[in-house]
Amino acid sequence: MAIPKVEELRVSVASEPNMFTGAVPKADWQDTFTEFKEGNFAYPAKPEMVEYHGFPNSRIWSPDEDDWKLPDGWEKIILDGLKERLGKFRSLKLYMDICVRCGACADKCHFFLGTGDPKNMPVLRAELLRSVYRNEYSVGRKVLSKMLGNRPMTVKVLKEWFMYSYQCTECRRCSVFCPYGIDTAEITMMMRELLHLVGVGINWILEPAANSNRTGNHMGLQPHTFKQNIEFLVDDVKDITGIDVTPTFNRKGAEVLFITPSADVFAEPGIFTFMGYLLLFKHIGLDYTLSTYASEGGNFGLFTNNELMKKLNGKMYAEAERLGVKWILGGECGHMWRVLHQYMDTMNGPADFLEVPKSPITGTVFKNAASTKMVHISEFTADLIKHNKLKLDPKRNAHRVPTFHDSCNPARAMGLLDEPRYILDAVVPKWHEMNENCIREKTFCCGSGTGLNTGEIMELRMRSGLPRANAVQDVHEKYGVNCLANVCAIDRATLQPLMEYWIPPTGDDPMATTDVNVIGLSELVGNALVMDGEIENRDQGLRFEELVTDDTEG
Amino acid sequence: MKLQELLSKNRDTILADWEDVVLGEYAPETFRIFKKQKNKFANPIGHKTTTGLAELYDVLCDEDDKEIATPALVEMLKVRALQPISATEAMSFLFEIKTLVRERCEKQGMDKLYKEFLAFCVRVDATALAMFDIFTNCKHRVFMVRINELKTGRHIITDNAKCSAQLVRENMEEDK
Repeated sequence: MAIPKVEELRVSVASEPNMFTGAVPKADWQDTFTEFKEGNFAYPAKPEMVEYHGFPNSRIWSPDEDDWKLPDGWEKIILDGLKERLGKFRSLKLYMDICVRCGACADKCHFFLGTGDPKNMPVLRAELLRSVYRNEYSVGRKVLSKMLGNRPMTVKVLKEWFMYSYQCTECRRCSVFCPYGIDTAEITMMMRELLHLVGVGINWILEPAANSNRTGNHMGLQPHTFKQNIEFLVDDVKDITGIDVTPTFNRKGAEVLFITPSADVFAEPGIFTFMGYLLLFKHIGLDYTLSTYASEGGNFGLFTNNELMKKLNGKMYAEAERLGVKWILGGECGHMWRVLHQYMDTMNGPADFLEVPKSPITGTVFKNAASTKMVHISEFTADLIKHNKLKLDPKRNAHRVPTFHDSCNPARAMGLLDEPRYILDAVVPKWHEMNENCIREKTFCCGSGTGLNTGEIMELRMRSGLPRANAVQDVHEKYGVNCLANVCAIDRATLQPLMEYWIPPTGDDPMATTDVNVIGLSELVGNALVMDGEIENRDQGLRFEELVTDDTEG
Repeated sequence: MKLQELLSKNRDTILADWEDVVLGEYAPETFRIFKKQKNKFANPIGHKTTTGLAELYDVLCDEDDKEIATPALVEMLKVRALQPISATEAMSFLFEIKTLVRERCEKQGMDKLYKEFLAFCVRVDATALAMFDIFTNCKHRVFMVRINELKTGRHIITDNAKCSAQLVRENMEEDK
């Protein structure tokens, strides 16, 4: 396929109406303007949130107004920030220099495929920053500036950065196809960091990040509320199974500290996943504790800047050290695992005060976590199944026909590909893979990651999620798939609306919102677990739905 | 030659031209990718457009009362209902078929088939009304998705995060 070169893009990229902005540019893409309208941008951060983080230039502003009230000398602030980061991060310098514009990434981005906006081609999104970089640093920049596609830092450029760095979920699918291994997500991260230097950021990232810093979780749940919510879930588990799964909190000397996204404690369908964890730990008699301080796996620092990412990641380890646990078990989360596998070690590691994780049930030593000392719940569960330590009845999930959505970060950032599939094989009678172009390393993002899971951009989320929804539609039609299993809290929150739009309900149930419901993998585990002392002929799933039993089969 | 015969014989070329009109609304380099990439997973918009137009064309060419809301057409309109363009812009592609067919008629010296052409245009217009219903249903669906998010509590995760304790505090402040 002929992929356009940057030179061609520059001339023709916007000679037709832009499907995202609705603008009808007439000139070179560098000379076209980005139009902000209600619905195509996430709301800017409130001044108090900016101030909370100690970020500069807090103010009330709105992207759809011409004047963004940028501070005096903002261009210098940005360029100095870029210089500092080029010196600090060798990867950034490399990514700025080595792209040959081969275009291999151009049609791999879900935002491009769902919006048709060429500036969402990863190569061009990165060019928004590269053009400024070259203007400052390339040889011959003064003479051949325009020909080389260089451009100075202007308000127009800044607005493009804001528009398109917040139309990237840092999912890294493009990087899988890049022959040079350029991680375009890191370019997005740098653009966001630079924007924060002049007080340009979105509220749905800075507020959760502030909450995480203050109360330990992005919901802002205070310790007693966090504990109470879990107690509600414990009651539900008791009602459904007859089993008392009461966990402990902040208990010193526990073997394992369990950390999961706080969304699992608070909202559907994550709470059902959490109930699955509780049953699993009870089933194997794990010596674990929860923490009301490290009550969040998600790291909104990753979406903000490297300092905040380090700080939030550090809280988990500080708590593990304080409690004196041996190692950390992590729940079904997305970006927690990217931070852990790609950045933790150089930011806060190695965690020498912890032990190399060893399953107390099977004796398996997780050497892959020798430095971070943190094991993924799916690795842990798959190992239990492998050693035949779980009593499972997959028939209990016979009402579910899942497909598996590889969440971007566990799949591409830590290589968690086979463990979830191994678990699915054991806990459901049958499940079906989506098309090979849409799974494993090549998985398509939910379209709402990195802080873009906010309601004011719902239509954008539905557009960017189209490639994922399209693949689910296919297995739904072919095999009657009726649930979408995954291992990420943001997926659980955002794939559900995506399914509701793209796969609306067709049955008789007036309460149904879609034909494909989203489900955490551990919920399926929890449903399949046959617990000692459980209610005879347990007939309810963790959502209080009817389970297939021998009687109902009869 | 009857119009019906012309429509049948020229199905592929008219459809190709029609597809160019629809995908031509995107920027040129997007058009190139959306037009050429035939893998439906690598190019959902291109695929939904191609299959949607084909089913729509067959509906228009069929003189019997066929169901207009075919699955692929609904999918195509779902895509268009999400794009930030006006309803007029989203739907106008349908009327392009009149121009495309008339041009074919003229080329082949079939100008005198105006009565048949008129009947074809009536079918297009009737289809337009049905398509507006599909389109507005899609828009309605987006709003329902948003409402469901609020009803189920997922908005707590997906919108400005507020814990219950914070809400209680705010209520207390409001009551003061």
